[in-house]
Amino acid sequence: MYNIIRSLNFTNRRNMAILLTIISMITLPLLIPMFVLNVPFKDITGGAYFTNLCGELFTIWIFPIMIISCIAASADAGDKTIYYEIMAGHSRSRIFFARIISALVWGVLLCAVTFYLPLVYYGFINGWPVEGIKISDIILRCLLSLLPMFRIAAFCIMVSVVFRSAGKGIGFSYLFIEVEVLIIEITSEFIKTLDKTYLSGLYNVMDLLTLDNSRNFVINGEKVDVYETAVSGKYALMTIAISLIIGGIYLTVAYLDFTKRDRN
Amino acid sequence: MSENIVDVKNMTKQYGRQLALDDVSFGIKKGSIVGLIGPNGAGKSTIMKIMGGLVFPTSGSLKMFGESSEKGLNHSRSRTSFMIETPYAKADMSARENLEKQRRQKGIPDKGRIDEVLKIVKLEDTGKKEVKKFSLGMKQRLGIANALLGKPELMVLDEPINGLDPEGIVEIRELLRNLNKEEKVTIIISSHILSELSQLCTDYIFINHGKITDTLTAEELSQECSEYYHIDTDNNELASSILTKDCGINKLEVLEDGSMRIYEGFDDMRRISKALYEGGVIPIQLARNEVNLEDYYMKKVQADV
Repeated sequence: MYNIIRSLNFTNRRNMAILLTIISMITLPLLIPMFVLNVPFKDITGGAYFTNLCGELFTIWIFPIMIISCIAASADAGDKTIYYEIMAGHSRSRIFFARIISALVWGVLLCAVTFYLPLVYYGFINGWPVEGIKISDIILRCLLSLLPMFRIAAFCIMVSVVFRSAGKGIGFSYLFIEVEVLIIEITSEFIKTLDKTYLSGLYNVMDLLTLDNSRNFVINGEKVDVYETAVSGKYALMTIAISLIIGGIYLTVAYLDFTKRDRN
Repeated sequence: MSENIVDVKNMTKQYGRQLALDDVSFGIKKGSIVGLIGPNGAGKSTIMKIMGGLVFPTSGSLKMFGESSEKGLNHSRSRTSFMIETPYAKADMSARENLEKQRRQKGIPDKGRIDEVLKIVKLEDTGKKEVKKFSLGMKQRLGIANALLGKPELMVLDEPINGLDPEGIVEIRELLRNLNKEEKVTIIISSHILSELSQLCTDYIFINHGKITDTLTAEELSQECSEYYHIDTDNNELASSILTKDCGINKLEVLEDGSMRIYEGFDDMRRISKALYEGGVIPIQLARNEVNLEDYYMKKVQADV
């Protein structure tokens, strides 16, 4: 399995689509606040970045997760170079798990690191002055968000494995997630807000990265926003449980398809 | 008695309603070069894919290097190299990068092996040129380089000389011959260029409609591939009658175009020519030939039809 992961890492490092995605992920957090929101660089503090941008920005970040996890899991199926792994005598289970590890490391961890990196560098450069924001709560929210990100990546991996193509995986994953969001939006009047976040990995991440309960105060003539940052224990547990169960189901479907179907 | 390196027993493969392999059984002797011969869709690639683990058989058993369990077969595959259908490669990577990917995947510690195989297949000067800019022949050479990377004991090659220029064909033939003689590599090879197979193979397996129709050694083939006279005249019907009745030729075959082949009476051709002429038949062609692998194959295929 280690040899397959080494081989996959070798390929991923040379993949132009992955390279361009990583460059975009690094430059977007620098460009969006300044050029889209028209906020001067000195005003973009770590706290401001989190409270104003993170939740919304994830609607863009879902694309890097889709692109990279599908490429890492199934690009070799598209050009059939995956055949060499099977024909070299690696068991299908090992090949599958090697790909899952590679896809999750590249598709979730790398995307999460580039997503949260601006919090660190904006925080270091411009400080973190947003009242009431506890860094420990933000770290907990960021760590929790990895789980629905895993759920999204697992879905994309499943689609790309079943279709045996990274391109089809990206396209159909996007389509399915859009349809899912559409259905949830249409039916949102009939379901509780809390349920909505569990129905979709995208909503779950956005909810974790959005601080809704803010209050405005005027202290010494200056307007101050105060946020409640804590995540309830129930919400954290439900996020963990639902992400792992649904992500696990997606990966089980992908595993069965990968190990039981002919490669023709 | 030679040890079998591959044993296929009663293997059947069904794709939906289509029967790709129908109760196929054969053995491959260690150190042999076996030609797998059959028309498109006969089941050659399916056999190779089952050996490679890409396709699961519907029923039957496969034994490679004496191993038949799933784990054992996987271990056997690590001693085997496969080139099935077209050579697969990353189009946006160079030949060296493609081989490096495979070297890592196979866990081959020696990085120098890449230079060795690139030199063997004459791709050492391709530098950073991406595979998508390679000709079909170059891609084929890369596929062969990949197959050689792990120093296999068994090679399974599907159309390995497809797309190669004549010089390349000769080089690959010599390479495979040397690997077989010097490194004792057993080779299973399919090709549509039967004249090539006949120069290389020690054994032949004929397959059609998913069934093994014949298996024979090179010696047996040479016995089957007898000499003949090809006779074409201005009146082949009359000529056929003269040859059988007046000249006593029993081994006569009438071809589709009406011309004939006779497999006896070679020492008596002067008398045969005279008999034809006196019978009012003018020979247009009277040539001594030999049945080769292609003729044998065509005969087999036509017999099946």
